Amino acid sequence: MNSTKQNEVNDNLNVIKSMIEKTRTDAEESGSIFILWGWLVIAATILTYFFVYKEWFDRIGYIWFILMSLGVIGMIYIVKKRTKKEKVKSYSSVALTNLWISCGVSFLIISFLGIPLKVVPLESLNIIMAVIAGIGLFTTGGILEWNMLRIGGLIWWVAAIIMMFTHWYFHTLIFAIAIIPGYLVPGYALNRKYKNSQNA
Amino acid sequence: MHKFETLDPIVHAPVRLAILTVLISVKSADFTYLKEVTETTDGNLGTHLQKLEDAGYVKVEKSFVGKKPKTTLSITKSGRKAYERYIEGITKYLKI
Repeated sequence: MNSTKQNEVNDNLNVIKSMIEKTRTDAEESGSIFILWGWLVIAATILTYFFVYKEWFDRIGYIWFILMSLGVIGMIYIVKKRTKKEKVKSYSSVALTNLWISCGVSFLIISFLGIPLKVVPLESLNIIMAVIAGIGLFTTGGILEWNMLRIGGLIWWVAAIIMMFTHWYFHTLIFAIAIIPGYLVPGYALNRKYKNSQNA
Repeated sequence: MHKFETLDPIVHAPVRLAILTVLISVKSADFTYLKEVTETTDGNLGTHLQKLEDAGYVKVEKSFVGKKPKTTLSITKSGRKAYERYIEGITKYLKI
Protein backbone atom coordinates (compact mmCIF):
# COMPACT_ATOMS: atom_id res chain seq x y z
CA MET A 1 0.00 0.00 0.00
CA ASN A 2 1.41 3.43 -0.95
CA SER A 3 2.41 5.13 2.34
CA THR A 4 1.44 8.69 1.17
CA LYS A 5 -2.04 7.47 0.28
CA GLN A 6 -2.22 5.53 3.54
CA ASN A 7 -1.28 8.71 5.49
CA GLU A 8 -3.91 10.72 3.62
CA VAL A 9 -6.59 8.22 4.57
CA ASN A 10 -5.38 8.12 8.19
CA ASP A 11 -5.43 11.93 8.33
CA ASN A 12 -8.98 11.90 7.00
CA LEU A 13 -10.00 9.40 9.67
CA ASN A 14 -8.66 11.88 12.24
CA VAL A 15 -10.68 14.66 10.57
CA ILE A 16 -13.85 12.55 10.93
CA LYS A 17 -13.05 11.74 14.58
CA SER A 18 -12.36 15.37 15.44
CA MET A 19 -15.55 16.64 13.74
CA ILE A 20 -17.71 14.03 15.51
CA GLU A 21 -16.24 15.17 18.85
CA LYS A 22 -16.84 18.85 18.09
CA THR A 23 -20.33 18.67 16.60
CA ARG A 24 -23.14 19.52 18.95
CA THR A 25 -25.86 16.99 18.24
CA ASP A 26 -27.82 17.37 21.50
CA ALA A 27 -30.82 19.64 21.65
CA GLU A 28 -30.48 22.57 24.01
CA GLU A 29 -33.67 23.36 25.82
CA SER A 30 -33.82 26.49 27.97
CA GLY A 31 -37.03 25.51 29.76
CA SER A 32 -38.52 29.00 29.12
CA ILE A 33 -41.62 27.53 27.46
CA PHE A 34 -42.32 25.25 30.45
CA ILE A 35 -41.90 28.19 32.86
CA LEU A 36 -44.17 30.44 30.74
CA TRP A 37 -46.98 27.88 30.48
CA GLY A 38 -46.55 26.82 34.11
CA TRP A 39 -47.14 30.32 35.51
CA LEU A 40 -49.91 31.11 33.01
CA VAL A 41 -51.88 27.98 33.93
CA ILE A 42 -51.39 28.67 37.66
CA ALA A 43 -52.65 32.25 37.12
CA ALA A 44 -55.63 30.97 35.10
CA THR A 45 -56.46 28.42 37.81
CA ILE A 46 -56.32 30.97 40.65
CA LEU A 47 -58.50 33.38 38.65
CA THR A 48 -60.94 30.56 37.84
CA TYR A 49 -61.34 29.81 41.55
CA PHE A 50 -61.80 33.51 42.29
CA PHE A 51 -64.47 33.77 39.56
CA VAL A 52 -66.21 30.62 40.87
CA TYR A 53 -66.16 32.16 44.39
CA LYS A 54 -67.73 35.34 42.96
CA GLU A 55 -70.14 33.20 40.91
CA TRP A 56 -69.03 34.82 37.62
CA PHE A 57 -69.29 31.47 35.84
CA ASP A 58 -69.96 32.90 32.38
CA ARG A 59 -66.68 34.85 32.44
CA ILE A 60 -64.36 31.90 33.20
CA GLY A 61 -63.92 31.14 29.50
CA TYR A 62 -62.44 34.62 28.94
CA ILE A 63 -59.68 34.04 31.54
CA TRP A 64 -58.51 30.90 29.74
CA PHE A 65 -58.85 32.43 26.29
CA ILE A 66 -56.83 35.57 27.23
CA LEU A 67 -54.13 33.75 29.19
CA MET A 68 -53.73 30.94 26.63
CA SER A 69 -53.51 33.52 23.82
CA LEU A 70 -50.76 35.27 25.84
CA GLY A 71 -49.05 31.88 26.11
CA VAL A 72 -49.14 31.35 22.34
CA ILE A 73 -47.75 34.89 21.72
CA GLY A 74 -45.02 34.31 24.34
CA MET A 75 -44.17 30.92 22.82
CA ILE A 76 -43.86 32.39 19.30
CA TYR A 77 -41.55 35.11 20.73
CA ILE A 78 -39.34 32.52 22.53
CA VAL A 79 -39.13 30.26 19.44
CA LYS A 80 -38.30 33.22 17.14
CA LYS A 81 -35.59 34.45 19.52
CA ARG A 82 -34.15 30.94 19.74
CA THR A 83 -34.15 30.47 15.94
CA LYS A 84 -32.22 33.74 15.58
CA LYS A 85 -29.50 32.55 17.96
CA GLU A 86 -29.44 28.94 16.76
CA LYS A 87 -26.27 28.15 14.81
CA VAL A 88 -26.94 24.46 14.44
CA LYS A 89 -30.19 22.54 14.30
CA SER A 90 -29.88 19.01 15.68
CA TYR A 91 -32.26 16.16 14.87
CA SER A 92 -33.29 16.02 18.53
CA SER A 93 -34.27 19.72 18.54
CA VAL A 94 -36.41 19.10 15.42
CA ALA A 95 -38.03 16.11 17.18
CA LEU A 96 -38.75 18.26 20.27
CA THR A 97 -40.29 21.10 18.25
CA ASN A 98 -42.56 18.68 16.39
CA LEU A 99 -43.52 16.87 19.59
CA TRP A 100 -44.63 20.12 21.32
CA ILE A 101 -46.42 21.35 18.20
CA SER A 102 -48.35 18.04 18.21
CA CYS A 103 -49.20 18.47 21.89
CA GLY A 104 -50.25 22.12 21.32
CA VAL A 105 -52.46 21.23 18.33
CA SER A 106 -54.04 18.40 20.34
CA PHE A 107 -54.80 20.84 23.21
CA LEU A 108 -56.36 23.29 20.74
CA ILE A 109 -58.52 20.65 18.97
CA ILE A 110 -59.86 19.39 22.31
CA SER A 111 -60.41 22.82 23.94
CA PHE A 112 -61.66 24.91 21.03
CA LEU A 113 -63.48 22.26 19.00
CA GLY A 114 -64.19 19.17 21.09
CA ILE A 115 -65.61 21.09 24.08
CA PRO A 116 -67.77 23.68 22.18
CA LEU A 117 -69.15 20.92 19.92
CA LYS A 118 -69.89 18.94 23.09
CA VAL A 119 -68.26 15.79 21.65
CA VAL A 120 -65.71 15.97 24.47
CA PRO A 121 -67.33 16.40 27.90
CA LEU A 122 -66.05 19.46 29.83
CA GLU A 123 -65.50 17.21 32.85
CA SER A 124 -62.77 15.30 30.99
CA LEU A 125 -60.87 18.39 29.72
CA ASN A 126 -58.28 18.50 32.53
CA ILE A 127 -57.76 14.72 32.35
CA ILE A 128 -57.05 14.84 28.59
CA MET A 129 -54.72 17.84 29.03
CA ALA A 130 -52.82 16.04 31.80
CA VAL A 131 -52.42 12.92 29.62
CA ILE A 132 -51.12 15.01 26.69
CA ALA A 133 -48.75 16.94 29.02
CA GLY A 134 -47.50 13.56 30.28
CA ILE A 135 -46.74 12.44 26.70
CA GLY A 136 -44.87 15.72 26.03
CA LEU A 137 -42.82 15.68 29.23
CA PHE A 138 -41.99 11.95 29.19
CA THR A 139 -40.90 11.99 25.52
CA THR A 140 -38.89 15.21 26.03
CA GLY A 141 -37.14 13.45 28.93
CA GLY A 142 -36.38 10.53 26.63
CA ILE A 143 -34.98 12.75 23.86
CA LEU A 144 -32.88 14.87 26.25
CA GLU A 145 -32.04 11.76 28.33
CA TRP A 146 -33.11 13.51 31.50
CA ASN A 147 -34.98 11.59 34.18
CA MET A 148 -36.40 14.68 35.90
CA LEU A 149 -38.54 15.29 32.80
CA ARG A 150 -39.58 11.64 32.61
CA ILE A 151 -40.68 11.88 36.26
CA GLY A 152 -42.57 15.09 35.34
CA GLY A 153 -44.41 13.05 32.68
CA LEU A 154 -45.26 10.32 35.22
CA ILE A 155 -46.60 13.00 37.62
CA TRP A 156 -49.01 14.19 34.88
CA TRP A 157 -50.25 10.64 34.28
CA VAL A 158 -50.70 10.05 38.03
CA ALA A 159 -52.61 13.38 38.22
CA ALA A 160 -54.84 12.18 35.34
CA ILE A 161 -55.60 8.93 37.19
CA ILE A 162 -56.36 10.82 40.44
CA MET A 163 -58.73 13.12 38.51
CA MET A 164 -60.59 10.07 37.16
CA PHE A 165 -61.44 9.10 40.74
CA THR A 166 -62.37 12.58 42.01
CA HIS A 167 -65.26 14.94 41.35
CA TRP A 168 -64.59 17.21 38.34
CA TYR A 169 -65.01 20.25 40.63
CA PHE A 170 -61.49 19.48 42.01
CA HIS A 171 -59.85 18.78 38.64
CA THR A 172 -58.58 22.33 38.06
CA LEU A 173 -57.07 22.35 41.55
CA ILE A 174 -55.32 18.99 40.99
CA PHE A 175 -54.14 20.29 37.61
CA ALA A 176 -52.68 23.43 39.25
CA ILE A 177 -50.88 21.34 41.86
CA ALA A 178 -49.46 19.01 39.15
CA ILE A 179 -48.13 22.07 37.26
CA ILE A 180 -45.51 22.70 39.99
CA PRO A 181 -43.63 19.34 39.84
CA GLY A 182 -44.79 18.61 36.29
CA TYR A 183 -43.84 21.88 34.57
CA LEU A 184 -42.23 24.51 36.79
CA VAL A 185 -39.63 22.37 38.62
CA PRO A 186 -38.31 20.71 35.39
CA GLY A 187 -38.60 24.09 33.60
CA TYR A 188 -36.39 25.90 36.14
CA ALA A 189 -33.98 22.92 36.29
CA LEU A 190 -33.67 22.95 32.47
CA ASN A 191 -33.13 26.71 32.59
CA ARG A 192 -30.29 26.34 35.11
CA LYS A 193 -28.68 23.56 33.05
CA TYR A 194 -29.00 25.66 29.87
CA LYS A 195 -27.43 28.74 31.53
CA ASN A 196 -24.54 26.62 32.85
CA SER A 197 -23.93 25.14 29.37
CA GLN A 198 -23.96 28.66 27.84
CA ASN A 199 -21.41 29.90 30.39
CA ALA A 200 -19.16 26.83 29.99
CA MET B 1 -7.97 -4.56 -1.82
CA HIS B 2 -10.12 -1.50 -2.44
CA LYS B 3 -8.49 0.92 -4.89
CA PHE B 4 -7.53 4.37 -3.54
CA GLU B 5 -8.50 5.88 -6.91
CA THR B 6 -12.11 4.90 -6.43
CA LEU B 7 -12.48 7.21 -3.40
CA ASP B 8 -14.66 10.21 -4.34
CA PRO B 9 -12.24 13.19 -4.79
CA ILE B 10 -15.01 15.64 -3.83
CA VAL B 11 -15.37 14.01 -0.39
CA HIS B 12 -11.68 13.13 0.04
CA ALA B 13 -10.45 16.73 0.58
CA PRO B 14 -10.07 17.19 4.39
CA VAL B 15 -12.11 20.44 4.68
CA ARG B 16 -14.94 19.02 2.56
CA LEU B 17 -14.86 15.78 4.53
CA ALA B 18 -15.04 17.81 7.75
CA ILE B 19 -18.04 19.79 6.41
CA LEU B 20 -19.89 16.61 5.39
CA THR B 21 -19.11 14.92 8.74
CA VAL B 22 -20.69 17.86 10.58
CA LEU B 23 -23.69 18.09 8.26
CA ILE B 24 -24.45 14.35 8.31
CA SER B 25 -24.96 14.43 12.09
CA VAL B 26 -27.22 17.50 12.25
CA LYS B 27 -30.36 18.67 10.48
CA SER B 28 -28.68 21.93 9.41
CA ALA B 29 -25.85 24.24 10.44
CA ASP B 30 -25.08 27.85 9.64
CA PHE B 31 -21.92 29.14 7.97
CA THR B 32 -20.43 30.61 11.17
CA TYR B 33 -20.88 27.34 13.06
CA LEU B 34 -19.15 25.39 10.27
CA LYS B 35 -16.34 27.96 10.24
CA GLU B 36 -15.89 27.51 14.01
CA VAL B 37 -15.77 23.70 14.01
CA THR B 38 -13.73 23.24 10.83
CA GLU B 39 -11.31 26.02 11.92
CA THR B 40 -11.08 27.48 8.45
CA THR B 41 -11.39 30.96 6.90
CA ASP B 42 -14.49 32.47 5.26
CA GLY B 43 -12.92 32.28 1.79
CA ASN B 44 -11.65 28.72 2.13
CA LEU B 45 -14.95 27.47 3.54
CA GLY B 46 -16.87 29.30 0.81
CA THR B 47 -14.76 27.67 -1.94
CA HIS B 48 -15.23 24.17 -0.54
CA LEU B 49 -18.94 24.71 0.01
CA GLN B 50 -19.30 25.83 -3.60
CA LYS B 51 -17.66 22.57 -4.78
CA LEU B 52 -19.97 20.52 -2.56
CA GLU B 53 -22.99 22.46 -3.80
CA ASP B 54 -21.94 22.00 -7.45
CA ALA B 55 -21.63 18.24 -6.84
CA GLY B 56 -25.16 18.27 -5.38
CA TYR B 57 -23.92 17.10 -1.98
CA VAL B 58 -24.88 20.17 0.03
CA LYS B 59 -27.91 22.46 -0.03
CA VAL B 60 -27.25 26.13 0.61
CA GLU B 61 -30.07 28.40 1.82
CA LYS B 62 -29.61 32.14 2.23
CA SER B 63 -31.90 34.19 4.44
CA PHE B 64 -31.94 37.30 6.62
CA VAL B 65 -32.22 37.40 10.40
CA GLY B 66 -33.18 41.02 10.98
CA LYS B 67 -30.73 42.84 8.73
CA LYS B 68 -28.00 40.21 8.97
CA PRO B 69 -27.60 37.66 6.17
CA LYS B 70 -27.62 34.02 7.27
CA THR B 71 -26.40 31.04 5.25
CA THR B 72 -27.81 27.69 6.34
CA LEU B 73 -26.35 24.43 5.05
CA SER B 74 -27.64 20.91 5.02
CA ILE B 75 -26.55 17.63 3.43
CA THR B 76 -28.56 16.31 0.47
CA LYS B 77 -29.56 12.67 -0.17
CA SER B 78 -26.78 12.26 -2.72
CA GLY B 79 -24.32 13.91 -0.29
CA ARG B 80 -25.31 11.38 2.37
CA LYS B 81 -24.87 8.50 -0.10
CA ALA B 82 -21.48 9.84 -1.26
CA TYR B 83 -20.34 10.14 2.37
CA GLU B 84 -21.45 6.58 3.16
CA ARG B 85 -19.70 5.28 0.02
CA TYR B 86 -16.54 7.14 1.05
CA ILE B 87 -16.54 5.63 4.57
CA GLU B 88 -17.12 2.19 3.05
CA GLY B 89 -14.24 2.85 0.63
CA ILE B 90 -11.69 3.90 3.26
CA THR B 91 -12.77 1.05 5.54
CA LYS B 92 -12.05 -1.43 2.74
CA TYR B 93 -8.83 0.38 1.78
CA LEU B 94 -7.52 0.15 5.34
CA LYS B 95 -9.05 -3.33 5.70
CA ILE B 96 -10.63 -2.30 9.03
